[in-house]
Amino acid sequence: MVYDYRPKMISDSPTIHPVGFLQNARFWLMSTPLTALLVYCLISIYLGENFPFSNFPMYSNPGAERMYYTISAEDGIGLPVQTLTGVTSPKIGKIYRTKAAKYSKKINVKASKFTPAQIATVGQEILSDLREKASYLGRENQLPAKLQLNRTWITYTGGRIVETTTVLAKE
Amino acid sequence: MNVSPLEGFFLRLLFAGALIYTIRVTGQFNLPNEPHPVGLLKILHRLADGPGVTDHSQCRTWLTWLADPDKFEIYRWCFVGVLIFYVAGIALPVVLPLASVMHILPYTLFGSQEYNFHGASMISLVLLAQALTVLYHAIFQKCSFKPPDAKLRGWMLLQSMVIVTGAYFVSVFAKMENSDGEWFMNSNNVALDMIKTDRQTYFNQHRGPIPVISSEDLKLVREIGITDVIFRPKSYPVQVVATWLLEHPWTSRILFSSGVLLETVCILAIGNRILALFFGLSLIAFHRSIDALMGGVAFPFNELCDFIFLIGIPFGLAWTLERIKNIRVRHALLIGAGIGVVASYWFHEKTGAATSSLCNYLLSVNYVIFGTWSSQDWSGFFEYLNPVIMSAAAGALAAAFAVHFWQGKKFPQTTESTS
Repeated sequence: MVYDYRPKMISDSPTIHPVGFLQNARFWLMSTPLTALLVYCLISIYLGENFPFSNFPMYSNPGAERMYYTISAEDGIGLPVQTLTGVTSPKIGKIYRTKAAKYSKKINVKASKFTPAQIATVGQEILSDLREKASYLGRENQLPAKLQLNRTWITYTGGRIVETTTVLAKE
Repeated sequence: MNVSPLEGFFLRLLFAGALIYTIRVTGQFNLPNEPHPVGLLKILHRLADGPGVTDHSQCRTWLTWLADPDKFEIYRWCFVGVLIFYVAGIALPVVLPLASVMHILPYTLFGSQEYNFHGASMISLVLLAQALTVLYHAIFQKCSFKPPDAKLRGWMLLQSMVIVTGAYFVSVFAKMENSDGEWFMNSNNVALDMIKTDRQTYFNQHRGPIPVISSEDLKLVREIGITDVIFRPKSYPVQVVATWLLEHPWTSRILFSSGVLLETVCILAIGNRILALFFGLSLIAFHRSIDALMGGVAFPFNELCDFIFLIGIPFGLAWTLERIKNIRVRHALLIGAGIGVVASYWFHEKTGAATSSLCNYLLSVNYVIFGTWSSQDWSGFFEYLNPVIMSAAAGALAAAFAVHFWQGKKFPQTTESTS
């Protein structure tokens, strides 16, 4: 006999006839997977980025300016950061935001109001961490003597994609 | 949902394969501390370090031992051992919570390094949901260490579908919240994210300047046929498409918003196999489109969940095998295939008996099966798996014929019970 995948009628279960809004709501919450879905969504939104929970914020704020970070020698030409340190390029931005948030709490200044010197303090810390990670991989000798952290803004202006790079921190 | 014992087995087998493939992170990195604890580590650090501490890099660590390659190797094999019980369906009220915690811990350490990582969130949450389902069933229904009954099998699949589709659904809230409800109007700017992601992918492994391409440059390319001498080959199509999308904002909005619409309505797949198949395929197309547009950003672990719990590959396998009405022959086929996979170790030229242990060989077969989708490098896929497939097929056929003829003499025909 082949397995019967059709939903089964359970003859001895009581028949539910929800009447009215509240009873309908109770039926949908208690007798369907909506309960689990609701609980899961609420927990995920409340906890945010706390593994294994996440609110999956990728591409959630598509502004008219996007930015990415690179590390380079003094010439400003981007280096292959993952190959050299094991840290991927997108992670540098995440590390910057996390460190900036901590530093912001410490000095009681909003990260968006940081002066270039305060940004450089955060940047120096990142460069130092990256050197340590390169050292773990045995690639510290492949890094230039003086590293710098760059931030590149991408905009679409006058029919052109424009990329503007600024140096955040230098060793 | 109505899940047959065979489908339940394939669900557990494929999900275990995916889990083994995903648990391979922390042993590769230098993670000497937990500077920005998340999840379980956040709770532990708050208890141990106090609530006011913001920088935990100098505090006592809890999970950094998982970054030791030798210890992680032992840990991974313990995880594989636990999953063997999971696949067999034995002692699930103990095995599933244990497997769930074991899967969560390495990624918690990895995500506590000042950068969030949500690539494995969905797959870890599915495991957690299955663990909670089994515990609920054990406490309020029936505590059993035997393979799951029909009700539990149905629950486990249903709750897995809730998590898979719910993860997409939750991301819609994040989009609306972070963009102050203006995501749809601003979605044409996702084209700038394409450029950004392309640059990031480039600077992961390459050195050098990336030329900027404008509309005028594009016209030049079209008119005089400038080739990749000045444009990086992989970057070029991304720039062309992104530029075109930026020039056509409404087309971009419709295109990108369709993805969010899919993330919103995919919850309709819960509990319905046909809709699950439709939304599963749509989500795979959605992921692949993002990967192509962004120049290499895929969520392979999420895609594996889509294949297993929405598209229903386990259901397809079970349904096909259940066309064989004789249950002994069916079981012989499965056991024969399993023995065939193991036997392929002794005559696989690339990673067989000559080069590795049996356990590592089976692990590498698993990595090829689940990892090829992730890397999308199909060049050596069939070359590597051909001996395994041939051996499994030979084992399955030999066992099935043996049982068929032997049973013809000794047993009356046995059929399956649907309980």
